[in-house]
Amino acid sequence: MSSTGRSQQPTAKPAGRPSWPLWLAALSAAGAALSGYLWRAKVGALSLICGPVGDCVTVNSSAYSEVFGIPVALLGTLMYSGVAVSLLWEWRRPGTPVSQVGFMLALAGALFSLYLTGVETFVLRAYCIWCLTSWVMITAIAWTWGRHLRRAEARA
Amino acid sequence: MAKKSRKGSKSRGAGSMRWVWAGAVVLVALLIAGQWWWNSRQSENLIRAAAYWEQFEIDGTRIGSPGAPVHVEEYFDFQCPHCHTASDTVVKRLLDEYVAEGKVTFTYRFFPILGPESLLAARAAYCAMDQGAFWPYQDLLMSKKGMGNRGTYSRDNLIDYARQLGLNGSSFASCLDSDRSMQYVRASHDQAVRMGLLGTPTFIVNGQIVNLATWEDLFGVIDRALAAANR
Repeated sequence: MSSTGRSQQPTAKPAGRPSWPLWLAALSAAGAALSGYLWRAKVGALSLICGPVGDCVTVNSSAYSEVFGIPVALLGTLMYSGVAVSLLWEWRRPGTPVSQVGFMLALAGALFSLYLTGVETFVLRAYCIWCLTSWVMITAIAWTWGRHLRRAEARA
Repeated sequence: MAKKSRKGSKSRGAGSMRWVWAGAVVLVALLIAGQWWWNSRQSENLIRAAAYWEQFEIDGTRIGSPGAPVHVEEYFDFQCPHCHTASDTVVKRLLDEYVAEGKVTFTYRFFPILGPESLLAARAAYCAMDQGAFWPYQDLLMSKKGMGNRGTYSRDNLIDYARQLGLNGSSFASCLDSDRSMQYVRASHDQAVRMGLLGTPTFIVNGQIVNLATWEDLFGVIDRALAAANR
């Protein structure tokens, strides 16, 4: 019966994989590179170029640039890498728990970046252009990903 | 029936999203709490380390009793790797075994020769001296082991280190930018040049430049100077 039903359906073009995970994975890779740069500068392997906006050296060397002695920039590099891998997984196999874990990482990254931006504004009174860029990137990733997850849920 | 199952899967999905949000919030709360705990521990460590210096008689870059029979000076550069080693091994031992016992008085002298951050770090150390904190500050700078003008002793970092020690950041910054910090460091540098010093670290015991093959040699020279003073 079911096989008959299936044969009666019009031959629909198989839906291609959505491209949004790839775009977000590329953005995450850029975020990982940015955080990696801040991390290398933090350990003194590179000198930090701040450009005309803000004071990234002050921010990157402040007491708030570490958690348990681990540079926040290194945590950011690992977070972005994890998010990029999860997004590639989502692209290959949509809707698995890996996607939710990856989204949780991105969400945590966006919230922690929000906190750090608050620290820059109210405690350090100094801005790091690279950190603000990273905040915008991870917020965009988390927001877009969350929207797609909600849509997928609504379809289910 | 189909509606019911759709509703069920929707609520399951909403439930899992709630867990995702909860997980993210818990993770961020842990990170923030960890950061505050770590920072308060670091501050306590710095204050404890600063308390170490209270046992000594200090006057600027000089430490120890002015009446001590032997006077040791070191011309140094904050970016010189051998000066970092000397700070960790020679100076610590000198302070604990000789200066604390009143046998030696020790003076650091600036000889910044390794680039702009050497000069800036020396000026910053002068500014810390201005606020009565040269010794804990130089200790903090030495522990950073900055080399090669890579930003460890950038202006912003130097001010941040001062703040970590509880110094007044704005007066520290204005001192760092002032002519007087430049003049003080330049005077010390010029003195080293006049003495014909070629590198750092250079140790001077009772006015005599000491050539060292090993760090241990310095203690031999000091012991002989002490023996001569006791005769």
